[in-house]
Amino acid sequence: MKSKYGAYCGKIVKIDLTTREITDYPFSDKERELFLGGKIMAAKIIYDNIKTKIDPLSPENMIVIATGPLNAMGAPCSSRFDTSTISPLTGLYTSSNCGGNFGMALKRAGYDAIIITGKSEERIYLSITDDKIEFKNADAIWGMRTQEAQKAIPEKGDKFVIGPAGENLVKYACVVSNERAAGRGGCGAVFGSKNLKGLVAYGTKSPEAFNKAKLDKVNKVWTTRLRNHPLTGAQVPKLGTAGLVTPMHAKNLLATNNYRSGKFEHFEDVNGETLADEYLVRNSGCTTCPIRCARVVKVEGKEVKGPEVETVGLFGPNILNHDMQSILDWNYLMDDLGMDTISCGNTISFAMELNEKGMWKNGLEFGKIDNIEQTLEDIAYRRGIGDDLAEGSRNLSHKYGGEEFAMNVKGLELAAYEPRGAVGQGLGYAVGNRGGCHLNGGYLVVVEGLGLNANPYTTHGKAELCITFQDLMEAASAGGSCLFTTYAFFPQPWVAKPNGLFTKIINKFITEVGFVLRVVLRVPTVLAVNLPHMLPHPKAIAAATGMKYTFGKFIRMGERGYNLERLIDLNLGLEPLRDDKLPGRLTDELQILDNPKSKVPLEKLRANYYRARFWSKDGKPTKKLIRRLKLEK
Amino acid sequence: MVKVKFFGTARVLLKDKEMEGDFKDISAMIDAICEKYGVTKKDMKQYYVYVNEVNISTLKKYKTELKDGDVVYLLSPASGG
Ligand code: SF4
Repeated sequence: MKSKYGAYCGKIVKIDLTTREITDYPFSDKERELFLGGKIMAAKIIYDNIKTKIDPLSPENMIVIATGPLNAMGAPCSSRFDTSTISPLTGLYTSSNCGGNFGMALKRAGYDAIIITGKSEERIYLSITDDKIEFKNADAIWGMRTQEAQKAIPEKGDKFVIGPAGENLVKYACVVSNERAAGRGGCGAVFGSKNLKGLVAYGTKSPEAFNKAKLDKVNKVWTTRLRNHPLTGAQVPKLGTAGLVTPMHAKNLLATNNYRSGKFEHFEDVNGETLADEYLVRNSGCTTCPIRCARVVKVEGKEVKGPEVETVGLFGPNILNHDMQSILDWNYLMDDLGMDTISCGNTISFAMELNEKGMWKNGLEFGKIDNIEQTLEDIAYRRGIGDDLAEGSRNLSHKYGGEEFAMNVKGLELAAYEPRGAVGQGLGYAVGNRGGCHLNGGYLVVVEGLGLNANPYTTHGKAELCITFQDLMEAASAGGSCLFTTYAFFPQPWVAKPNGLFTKIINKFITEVGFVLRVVLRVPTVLAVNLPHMLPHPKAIAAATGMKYTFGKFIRMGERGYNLERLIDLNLGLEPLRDDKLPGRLTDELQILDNPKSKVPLEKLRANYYRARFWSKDGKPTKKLIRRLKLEK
Repeated sequence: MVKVKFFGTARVLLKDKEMEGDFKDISAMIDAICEKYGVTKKDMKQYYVYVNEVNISTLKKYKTELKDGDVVYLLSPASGG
């Protein structure tokens, strides 16, 4: 269905792997306005097609690979695309954002999104060249790791493939494009279950912006803003995301010893500074990125992508390992085998604690690193203990016990932020639609210590802040932008002068603005403006598409996406009061013995959150809200 | 002797990991850093300062006294991941 709007290809296709039928999928301009692109467009498609609980690894599941309107439009950090499906780890909706070049290639080939359903009888990969989509036999590349497989696919174009972990249905297998992964939630296992090794896309089209001159102007200002911002212009490019390890340690936020502590005595061996001083070859980034957060390091003499803070945290402090080179090696190995480093690391630390407590004798011990490489291989090929570990921490806890220290929410393992040092982050983990994800959870830790310094223990205002951040990130992601671009939301003086009077006032009062945010969330049209200091995303989307996008409309679109995900989850069997919860360790045990506030007061936070989201007391969007968001008539 | 460790963009700015010295308080320590590395007090005020893992904003701020064996961290104003 052609679109009147700029920046869209106006084409979505559905590819049925069982019948090998390829059909156009209708998506109207009205729907484009409401659901924009990326994960929100994908959520709309999945919501319309999957209405009851399914087995995520059955042919009934669908994969939606969706681009956003800003992909291939010259905006900064805009090569990000989303892969969405029903997660084999959680049984709920998952959408994983990836910075590889495949998304832009897909768009240049003329597709806003592709929907993959059914199951192929033979092992295949899909080759997409402009309008031509072909089913290619994948026997020759089945079994290959992700880097080798991308090289071995002979067709010209950008690739998106699984490794052995996806083939062997490891529940947290990922899909890799270049060296970037659609990591979370197990999309790779869904590919494997469909006998789909991957895709290659090549295109010769260039979707046109509605107003190119205006878009170029917005992009230029936006890029300059990112380059000059203390976070995106200095801290992140210089130190990568691992630059967080030190402040996380200082602020009791660094998950250590399977989240028994927020501090690691050897943090200096595994922080971003050591990574930069001793291991960094250079920094690099996704296409179109002026920030360039990625690290290039050496593994066995080869230059490869270095680890993010999550991987450093979960394979460093959380398993009491302070050998940086081992983390670099394992990070590369996991990317090559095709599995999510967060879920994998977290499942291993859980298994270590089970072993320590005598609940599952498996040979894994905190601080012992000589058997980790073998364990990673065993997980990917489901050998020995690897077969159990491949199921993720929730399934392990069902088999061996220890639910209170299995650090997942709804089956998705938590990131490396220890939320007893930032209770708003704990709320986000608990209510996140895709499970224990720091980003889907709103990433409040950035207000509670890593960007600003708001009171990390108060419950005041946390629900409203969490919702605002969730909705903003949801919308940014749907547009095709990296979430780092939302850092420009923090005015420079707040972060550049942390000891200044103005910043102190902000830190003190930011948690008191809940009622203001509630008004904005209720009536976002009060922000039907695009002022210079606001996020540039709506302006860029307006110039690229020709839609009337303001900040208010942008945040409402994010809210629509978040609610839509919840509706999908409810269709799939989510019971919010049962499932929006944290492992007992985080709600019942103090992180710091002489600090009675150092645990997450979840019940209060969660009730505030449901109220501020205008959900019912049992965590469901009300009929009135669903109508207001135009999700149903 | 007080040990001062530079983290985040402080390490990038000062091109050093740490320094040692005897300083009466944080203010005196900052003066010594400015002199040694040729940076300004304004540069230094952009960092969070921790003494023995406690933020000086909860102590006596720049007047926080230092004693032998103390470890001071200078941390980036903001970090992101
Ligand atoms: S900031 Fe990092 S993740 Fe985001 S687009 Fe740039 S390189 Fe990619």
